[in-house]
Amino acid sequence: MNYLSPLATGMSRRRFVTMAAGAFAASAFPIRIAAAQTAAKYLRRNISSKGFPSKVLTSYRAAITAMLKLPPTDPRNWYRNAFVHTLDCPHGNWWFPVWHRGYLGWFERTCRELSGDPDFAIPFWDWTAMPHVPLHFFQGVLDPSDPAYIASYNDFFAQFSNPMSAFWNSFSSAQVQQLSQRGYNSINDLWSVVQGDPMFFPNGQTRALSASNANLDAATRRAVALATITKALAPKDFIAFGSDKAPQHSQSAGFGIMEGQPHNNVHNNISGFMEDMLSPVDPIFFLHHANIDRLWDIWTRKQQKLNLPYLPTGADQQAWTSEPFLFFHDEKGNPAPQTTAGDYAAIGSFNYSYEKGSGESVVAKAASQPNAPPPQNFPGNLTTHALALGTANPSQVTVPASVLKAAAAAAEGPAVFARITIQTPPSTHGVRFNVFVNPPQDSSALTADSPSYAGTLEFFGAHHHDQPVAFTIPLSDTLQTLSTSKALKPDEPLRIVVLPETKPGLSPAVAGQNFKSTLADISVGTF
Amino acid sequence: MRRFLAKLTGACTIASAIACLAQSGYSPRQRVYDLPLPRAVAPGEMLAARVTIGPLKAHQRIVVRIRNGEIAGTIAPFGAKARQSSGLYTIPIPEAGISDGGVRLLLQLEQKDAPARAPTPEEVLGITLEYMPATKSRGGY
Repeated sequence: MNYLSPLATGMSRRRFVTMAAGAFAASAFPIRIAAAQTAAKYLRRNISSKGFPSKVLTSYRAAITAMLKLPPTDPRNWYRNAFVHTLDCPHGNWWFPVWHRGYLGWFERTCRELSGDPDFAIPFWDWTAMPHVPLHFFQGVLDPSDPAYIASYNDFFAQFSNPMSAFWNSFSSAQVQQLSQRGYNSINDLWSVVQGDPMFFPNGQTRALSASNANLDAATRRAVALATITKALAPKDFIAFGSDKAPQHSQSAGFGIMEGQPHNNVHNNISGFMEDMLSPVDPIFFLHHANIDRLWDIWTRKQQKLNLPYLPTGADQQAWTSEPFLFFHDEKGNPAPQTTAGDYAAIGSFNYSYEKGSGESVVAKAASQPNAPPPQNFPGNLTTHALALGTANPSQVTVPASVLKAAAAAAEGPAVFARITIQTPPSTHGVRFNVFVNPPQDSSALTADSPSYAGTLEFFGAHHHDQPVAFTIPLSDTLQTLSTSKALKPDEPLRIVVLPETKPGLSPAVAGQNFKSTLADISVGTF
Repeated sequence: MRRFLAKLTGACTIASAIACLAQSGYSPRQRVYDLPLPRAVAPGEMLAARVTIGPLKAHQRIVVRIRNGEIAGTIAPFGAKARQSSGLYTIPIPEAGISDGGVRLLLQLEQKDAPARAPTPEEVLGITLEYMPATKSRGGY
């Protein structure tokens, strides 16, 4: 996976890597409200776990049945609750995780209220461990094709047209403004997309998957595989994890891995209601999103363990937390009192935790670096900018002796790298640049077998630009080798030599015909 | 299968963390993108492709594979609104997808009731590579 071309035997003995992504201000997160839930009142269970209590689905069925029977004028009606998602859900932006946490949290309370089960908590579908729709969800009211659901769009419109118009007319000016940002300027705009996109699916078309074909397809299985999930959990900052920053939550800016891969692909693979904004009509929606919320909780706990920010920081923090969420309702059908994103940054009063599931090991394995020194950078002095084939270009970089001694002493020392910026040659074909540290004066010794050899830089593919390209090359192993052979003098500047050469098998004329390049800059850094 | 190489025009900007689209290859079944990496992926980073797509039809999706055919990710816009407009999607690049100082991505548009095919330039508007700061777990990401 490296950019360094292994020169003969040179690479095998060298530890690859060691460069920092840059300093991270770990102290720059004043909000510490998303603490891990260790003693929560409610437990969201893994539906695929051994011993999953049947009572959970019994209560879920009871709640769904009750919500389906509520009149369309009641905000807790099953379809009215789904319309909250249609009207307000963010996708492709950094409010994706937090909005859905609020949406599920209030829904869970409504389920408790209407099922009569005071302990009910939404189970989660760990699609990584179980990449098929749970078979319970093809039975009874857990299947949106059940007769308890409305069978056709015409019936749906007939039942909900007037109640939705009345709901629309009740909106505050702030709600109207938000709907306008979404492109809904009238109730007719809403019905237009519900019918036209379409968002409503008649009986028999409510899902593409069935009890006899419940498996996620190959592409979706990859999207939920542990390899993808661990990548989704790897980002160090909230925006890279939770999708891109946007000016308001009805605007899409860009999809992070978690939203774009497992979230989107599971929705679309199930299809039917799940493929658009009335997706909460399908009861599997809530188990799918509980798993997304669980992954956010894992990511949060990983960040906390590493003393890294787990919410937007700096100026972003205020923009993110103050975003209005104006369409949630509580378990009694009244507007929810918490009306901003910041109100849902923590699990907080929803007071639930999750049973263990896929991805949890990311927290346990997180490599803590509590005493890691801050990254440093040391500029170099170039003897000349000119690069010529077969001619060593020497430069010097003064690096504190303490840094070199520590780097050379042990693998646990600071990682040291060189950053070398080269002006792209007109033709990169057949040319490479070998890099050496503190080499002997005899240029014939500049080979991959030399203890001074650090690596090789090569251009890849065609380059249609004339801007300099910066390469990073790890030096830690080389420094350790030089120290062993007493060729590293920590009190003296590092001598770094760049040697352009023709790749083996090509005549110098082929590569050198158009060769014209310069060394633009060189520096040494640590992290 | 015959391949037609089509060099993309347009300015490329090499920043410290971004590699630009260098060239693409095309066959009726898939479009190949070769993206150079200006430097190695460092510890504390992971590599991701940021793919900008144009409008897609219902039940169309774009599968992104690496050189060995392994699926890196699939772009499946959620909802009609997302399908009908352009969008930016993050695809994690497996370590096996990085070789010879770059990444080769093979993109294929899958659709319901029709054979898979190469996406058009209007369907895939561009790709950049991004070094994302990432936490590393002991034993790998």
